[in-house]
Amino acid sequence: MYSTVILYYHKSKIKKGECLPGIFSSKTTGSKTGMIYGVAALSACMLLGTLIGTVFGELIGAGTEIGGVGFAMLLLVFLTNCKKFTFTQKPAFIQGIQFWKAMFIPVVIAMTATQNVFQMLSSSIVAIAAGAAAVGFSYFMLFVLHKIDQKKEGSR
Amino acid sequence: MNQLLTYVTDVMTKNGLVAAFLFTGIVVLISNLITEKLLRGRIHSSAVAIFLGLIAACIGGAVTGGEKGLADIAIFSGLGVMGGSTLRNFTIIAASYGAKWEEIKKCGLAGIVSLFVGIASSYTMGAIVAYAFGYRDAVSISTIAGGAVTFVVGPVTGQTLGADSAVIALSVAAGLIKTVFIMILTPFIAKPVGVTTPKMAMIYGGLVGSTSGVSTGLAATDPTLVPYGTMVATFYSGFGCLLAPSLLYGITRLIFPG
Repeated sequence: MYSTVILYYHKSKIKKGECLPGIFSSKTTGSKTGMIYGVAALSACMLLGTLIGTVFGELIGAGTEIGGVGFAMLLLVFLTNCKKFTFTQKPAFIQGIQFWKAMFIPVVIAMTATQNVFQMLSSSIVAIAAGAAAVGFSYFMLFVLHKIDQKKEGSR
Repeated sequence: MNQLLTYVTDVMTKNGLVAAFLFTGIVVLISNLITEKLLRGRIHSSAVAIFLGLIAACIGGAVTGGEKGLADIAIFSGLGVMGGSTLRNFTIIAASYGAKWEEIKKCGLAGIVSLFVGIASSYTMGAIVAYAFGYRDAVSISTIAGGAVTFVVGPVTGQTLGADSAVIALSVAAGLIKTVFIMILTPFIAKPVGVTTPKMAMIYGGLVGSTSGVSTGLAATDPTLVPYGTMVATFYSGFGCLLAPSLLYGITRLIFPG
């Protein structure tokens, strides 16, 4: 069963520009690739990525899906960056993806409008302190990292 | 007149998702106007829009006393679908279009390292705060610390360890507060802290980890950074759920044999 899941090339073994040879050339997809193909490819990436995340989570005993969306993003970026998949460079295909990309901010607005903000404001001080401390410390680490980076740039 | 109003609310409620599209379109319009006319473009319009969304959520919660912000009001219930996990994940993945494979390969290791550093440090800070507020048993400390990782890790840890339900609720609150902090603060701290390149965005995602927070925050800062930060952040909750109830709890237990 596991052999069917491993349709996966280890990314480091693929040289730049090289992909799965010739399966998805423009001959099979025709010259008028519709927007739905872009949406469908996006959907395939999401479903496949979530599947990988679920299997991954199972394999390392997390009891939950790990990084499904992350894997899906990797798949999409890989698919669209690879020049051999010529169907991904068609304008209509790209439009299908870009429409949903443009819907990202509106969806985020909808998401923030459904957060339990009111209750959060009247939350216990412990919760506020814990959340703030975690975020604050991360920012502090980033600040230090940034300063180190800047020093390195300065001394070049 | 009343009858007309009933018809309007009926139509909007029955076509909730479409009503949500209209609502968000209006919010974007208002935020664009605010950014151009009032703020002279000093703050990104998406930051204003997201802020308006938070205010709307506040109003919704205050008016209805519910947990879903504005979506608790019937005509806005479609926002729950539009902002729900499926569409959110779908559009986040779409938003990664345009990211460069080279950048991801270059910064992959930094992203992974920051992921584990982020989980460990958030957990530790949460544990310190829990201790500071009087919690002495390892289970409660671990649960609250889990909440400081993300609002998913907290309850998962709590349920695994059999924590008190009040503590679990506390951990969820901590995680949500962390998410909202990230949503609001990212645009402001981005420049001083150096989150201006894909690499720093990935490290940022790994350190703070809340996917909703990072995607929203980066969207309000520099939309091109969204894919990089979010990609790393999506692994945070999952690994957090793995590490918090096991390894991190084990360490906590050693320190607090309560």
